Amino acid sequence: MAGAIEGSVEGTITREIPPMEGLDDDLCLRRLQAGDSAALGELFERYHRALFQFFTRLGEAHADDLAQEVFVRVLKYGHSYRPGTRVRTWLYTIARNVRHTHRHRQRAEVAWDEVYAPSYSPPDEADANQQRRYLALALGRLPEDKRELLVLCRYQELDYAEVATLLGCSVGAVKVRVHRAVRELRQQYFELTQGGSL
Amino acid sequence: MTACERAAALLPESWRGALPAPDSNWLAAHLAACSDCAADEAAWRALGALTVGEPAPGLRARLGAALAAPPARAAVWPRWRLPLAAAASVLLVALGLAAGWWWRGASLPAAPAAPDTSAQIASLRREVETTQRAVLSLLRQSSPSTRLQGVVDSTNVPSDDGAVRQALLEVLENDPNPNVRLAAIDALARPGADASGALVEAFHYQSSPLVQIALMDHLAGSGAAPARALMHTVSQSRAFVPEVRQRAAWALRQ
Repeated sequence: MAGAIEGSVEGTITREIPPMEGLDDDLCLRRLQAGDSAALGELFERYHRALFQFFTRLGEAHADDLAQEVFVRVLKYGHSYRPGTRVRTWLYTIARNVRHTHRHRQRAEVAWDEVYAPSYSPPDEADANQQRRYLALALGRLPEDKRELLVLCRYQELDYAEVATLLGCSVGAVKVRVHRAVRELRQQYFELTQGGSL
Repeated sequence: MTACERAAALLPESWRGALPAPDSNWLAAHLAACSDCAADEAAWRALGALTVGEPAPGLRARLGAALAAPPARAAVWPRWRLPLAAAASVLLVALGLAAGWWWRGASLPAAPAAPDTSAQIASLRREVETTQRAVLSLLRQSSPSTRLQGVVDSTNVPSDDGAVRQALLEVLENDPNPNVRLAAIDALARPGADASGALVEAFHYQSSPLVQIALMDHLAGSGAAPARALMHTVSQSRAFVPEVRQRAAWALRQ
């Protein structure tokens, strides 16, 4: 496979390298390291939506800018990727760093009920919309670490081992924390709705 | 270990669909009997109904443009900070000119004032017109951060400028981003501007409690009949969340 990557540097991608769609993330990134910028486009297609939604769900007003910054950093620091590492985990590590940097620069967050603003629904769905609105507000009231944990585990399709790597803790700790976060979410919802339950 | 502690340990695995059949069967039976643990399960499922928007279609093209830019510039000035950079440049030039003007005035005999004053007025007028055009342009952009910058810059335009005021009202009533709308409230209600009527009108377009509360804060203490009527209605209506109703009642008492 190393030979194939070297071939891409010499500009013979189409004959010697399989199409990008067929490559797993690891090979894609190795091609990027070898100087094939098309690999960045492929990683972008695979992950930009998930990263955009990751930032949006965490209340970032500039989710599109932040998602873009992740890929700029992938190009910039791609050499630091170690083959065999899960690319998805590596990308989320970069995404968390991008967000950390951004939050030090400015704190422009979207209101939580706007992040999850329900689209127009017929009147008989009004109750469900109201429940979603309160749930979104409850999520926004969680401490930052619990909110991020729930977003990573519930929406980003990361398994517990990946989340554990990201957060620097054990898989068992992730499971305990995610259950505690759900409990606190219920409590926040209860307080917001003055006694309501999901 | 109690049954609920066992359920707490199993639930995260079941949310991944990775629970072996015996544990899965035990958990199902427990959830049927224990409302507290069943509520955990319900909360996890309810989270799945919270959907968010999609990225803008032009994101890939923007990435290409960002990568094509000189690396140092792209790293130092992310896109959303470009308006800020431009404003800082203008400020620096203005400070330089002012310092030069002061130095000239301090070191040279006073020159006849009238011609320079009229030139200054003409220059200032041009500057205001330029700022107005820039603000109106920024407010029409697709990026929320750019529109936010436009709202902030609008405070450099006199508050009686009809075009900018109208544009700010449209932002307050229609902008999808609550942060932009919140900034528009501040820009419209700055000292010296009579915005009470416009804020009352704009309230009816708002669905975000944050924006509703901000409007109540600005209307607090207003003696205008439409504003007081709105505060009274909101404080009584169950169509609004409790926080908004309470803020309306507070505003009415000011």
